[in-house]
Amino acid sequence: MKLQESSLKNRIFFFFILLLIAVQGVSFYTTQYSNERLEEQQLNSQLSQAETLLKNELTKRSYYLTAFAETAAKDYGLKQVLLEDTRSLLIALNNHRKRIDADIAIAINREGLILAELLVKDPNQEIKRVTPGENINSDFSNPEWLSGESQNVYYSEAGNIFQLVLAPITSGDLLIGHIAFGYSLNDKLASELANLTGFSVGFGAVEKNKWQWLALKDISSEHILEEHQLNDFSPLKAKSGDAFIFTNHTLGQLNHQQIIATTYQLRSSLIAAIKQDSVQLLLMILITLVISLLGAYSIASGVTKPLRRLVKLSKNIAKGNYDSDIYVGSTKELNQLADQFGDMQSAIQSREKEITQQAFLDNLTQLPNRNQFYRDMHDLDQPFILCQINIRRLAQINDTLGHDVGDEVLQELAKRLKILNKPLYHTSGNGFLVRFDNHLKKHINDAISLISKVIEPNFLYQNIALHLQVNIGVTFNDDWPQANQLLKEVDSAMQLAKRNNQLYQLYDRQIDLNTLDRLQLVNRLKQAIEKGEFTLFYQPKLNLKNNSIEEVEALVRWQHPVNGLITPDAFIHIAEQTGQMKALSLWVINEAIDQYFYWKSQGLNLKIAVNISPENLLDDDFCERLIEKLCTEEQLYKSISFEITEDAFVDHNSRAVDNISMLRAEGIYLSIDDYGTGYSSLAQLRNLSVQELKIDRCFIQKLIQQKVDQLIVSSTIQLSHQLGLQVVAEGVEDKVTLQWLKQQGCEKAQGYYISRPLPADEFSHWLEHSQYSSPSNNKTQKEKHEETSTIAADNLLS
Amino acid sequence: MIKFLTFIFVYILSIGVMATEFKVTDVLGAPASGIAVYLIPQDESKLNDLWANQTNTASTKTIISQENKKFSPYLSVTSKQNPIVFDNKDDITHHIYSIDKENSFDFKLRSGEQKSDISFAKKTTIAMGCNIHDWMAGHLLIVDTPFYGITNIDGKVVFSDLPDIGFKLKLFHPQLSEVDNDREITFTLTTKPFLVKLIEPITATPLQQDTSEFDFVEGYE
Repeated sequence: MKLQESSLKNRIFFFFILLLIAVQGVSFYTTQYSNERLEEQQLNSQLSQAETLLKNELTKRSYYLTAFAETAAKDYGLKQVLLEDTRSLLIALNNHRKRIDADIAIAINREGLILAELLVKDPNQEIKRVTPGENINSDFSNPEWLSGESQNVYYSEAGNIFQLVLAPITSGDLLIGHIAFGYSLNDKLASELANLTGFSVGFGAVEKNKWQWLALKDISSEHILEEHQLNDFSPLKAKSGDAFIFTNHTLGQLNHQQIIATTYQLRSSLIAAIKQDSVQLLLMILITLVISLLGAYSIASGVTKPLRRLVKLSKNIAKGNYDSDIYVGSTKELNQLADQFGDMQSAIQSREKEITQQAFLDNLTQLPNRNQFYRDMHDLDQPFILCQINIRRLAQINDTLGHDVGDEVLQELAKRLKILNKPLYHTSGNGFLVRFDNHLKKHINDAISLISKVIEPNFLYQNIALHLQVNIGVTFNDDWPQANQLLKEVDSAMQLAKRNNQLYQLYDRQIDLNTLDRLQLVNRLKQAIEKGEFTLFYQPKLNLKNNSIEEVEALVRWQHPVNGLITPDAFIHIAEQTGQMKALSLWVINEAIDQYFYWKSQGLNLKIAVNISPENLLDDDFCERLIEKLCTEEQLYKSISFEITEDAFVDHNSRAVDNISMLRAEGIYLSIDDYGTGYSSLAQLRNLSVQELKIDRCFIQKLIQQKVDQLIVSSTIQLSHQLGLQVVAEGVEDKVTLQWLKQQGCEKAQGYYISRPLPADEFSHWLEHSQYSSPSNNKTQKEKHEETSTIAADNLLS
Repeated sequence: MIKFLTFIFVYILSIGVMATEFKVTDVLGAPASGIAVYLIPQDESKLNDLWANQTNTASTKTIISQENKKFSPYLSVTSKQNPIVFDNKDDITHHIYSIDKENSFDFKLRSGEQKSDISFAKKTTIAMGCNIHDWMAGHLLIVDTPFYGITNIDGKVVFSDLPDIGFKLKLFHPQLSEVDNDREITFTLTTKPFLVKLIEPITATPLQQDTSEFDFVEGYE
């Protein structure tokens, strides 16, 4: 398993973790948020309740004040003393004041003059001291209130603000004065209201946005509104987010001041409550989280446990163990999956069996196939002989009688080989293997005769008697080689037997080596041209008329880095088959031209004959390039000639003939190589405009001993001369032959007697020291002849 | 009838004094009824002479009834010394009072009773109420001239036997503006009615009605 792949269990677990954290986080946030909202809402609603209570309380007071004042105003006793002496009036007024415990009582006459006034000193104390007001007999400060109707107003006197109700006093319907009662807006009132509402309550007078405290009851636990802070704190300026939440309620107007009641609560007390809630909530959530994670872990394990079982099961199946017990748990879905695994397991099992059969049996003959052979070879530890038997000309049978018959023949052969009761395999379309166990090399003949015996009878197929012929390749397990090595061996041996028309062939390593060399050459040839592994050797053609060397034949050699020097016989054929002849020939021609110029620069004027393949002559492009190279101002065609084998003309190939004619027309010198060995026709000789015949060495080598050869050669020379051709004899190996040829009028001779092919530098060295003259050094020729004759003779002997 | 008319004619000619009619209208010109109108000599020193010449001034009773829990009439006018009779025509007790500093009085008047021992020696206005029935309100104008009256439904009041000594006319009503109440109007005697137009609107006379229904005491004696 790769490292970056996380297990399903971990994934599920981590997914749960994330999910739980997300859910709990959201839940915490929403709860916290809604708690805060709720608290705030609750507080606000409490606040508004408090405000309502406050309003009600003050309204009630004003109502009762009004009711009382109106009742008192109708009191006849009061009416009677209203215009009496002040003392009587004060006493009557105080009697009324006491009834409602008013803080102020005033009687005013019709003209707005204060007749009597009572004020309660220190209204916060239990025992009250009532004093007459200072304004008696002076005009009432707010005459606009004396309208004959009841008035509920705020009134300021002696540094106090009063909630005051004025009621008219009438006689009949005649207004004779007013009476007023009031309560002071003091700390006692604030305290009463605070007790009632549960909030801090204060009264303030506001003028031009300036808050001035009239009274205050601060019930907040911290009592932060100390005396000196009062000036700084203004309910007017408070805004949300401040330390307080509060509501203001305007009670009324006094001159230019607004009388406002405020109820407030410290926000900190609220926040403290929320914080406590939050801590509890967080704790709860953490506990839930831990429990949930434990649950998640167990779920993750629970989910993946059956999966792990299934993984184990499929691993077993992969190993080929199909007998695993399938139990994954009690989950319905997983059990279905497990059942499917079971079905799959048995399906794989049966299919594998089928495939195995197909893989190891041949369809046609139902014999074990090559795979089975390999399998069997695994556990084989005894000596055996292995025979590969192929039917000869099966392809012909298929072609002529049809594949059905071919199949019948194969089946018949299989049937017969089964009689041998040896391990038998059908390894290829037309190939059977028989293994003779515990047989050694010396038993090969017995084995072959056993096989021959079963194959011998004719096979009668639809009244056609077919004689089954086979080629057998044989090998034995010499040093326990690999099974595929054995197959290669018997196949090679069989191929050889087939080529050689033999019944059987025992494998020999040499067979392989030949095949192998050839293969290597094919592969290396192209590279060899590019890498310059070819060189040219030169063999002189001796002019018999003047005993001089005017011409050489260039012969290509392959200087193989491993195999050493390879002669053209080994690779020319390959080059032709693999289409590399053109490149090779061009390389040879270029090399020959270079050599020609080199020699020329050395003062040596030698014509060079180059061999070209018949295939080259079929190639128009090749011929054109020859002409381009040779027929220039330098007139190389006079110095470079070509030798062509007879094969070029054998097929009566008009293209080859045309190209030869074209080359000839350009003045290129051509000679026919190896004359007399092929199927050359005299008619072609007539048609072809070549200038030279080279009589093959097989007529020359035993010329002196064989009269027939002498006859052939002399008549060929005569015929050639008759046709106007020059004659070159190849393979001259002794002086007698050379003399004979000279007598017969042969123009040139070539062979080991003169010189074997030599590398260019060796050749020039040889020529310099030879008895023969060369075109450039004619003058020194005779002296040289003397010096080098012995050396040449030595060379010939070696 | 002819004899009577002849007498009046002769009387008017012989004394040179004739009946004079006054009509009071509100600011819109509609007749203003129930308004007290009284004449005082332009030269107030002649007031005593006026009283002396008043031969036929038999003291007339001014009756202020309490009827349907209302003072009726709402405004009464009489001259000083004239007896005033409070007549309770309701079947319920009234407690009539005045808290006028100089002329205060109060008394209970049971159903069907009369009280006639109250008179006033000086010119004054008295506002009366009932201590039991808050809504009840009545006014009494005491004048020191024999010529007084209350405008009828047409806003008219007629004075006969006016000596030609030059009078000024005064109006009074609790709902009249102070301007109108303080006005002194001079006039010359003619045969044509003299028209007095109020300067300021008169406010509505109180209906003397309890604002709440008050049925439950009706069945009690």
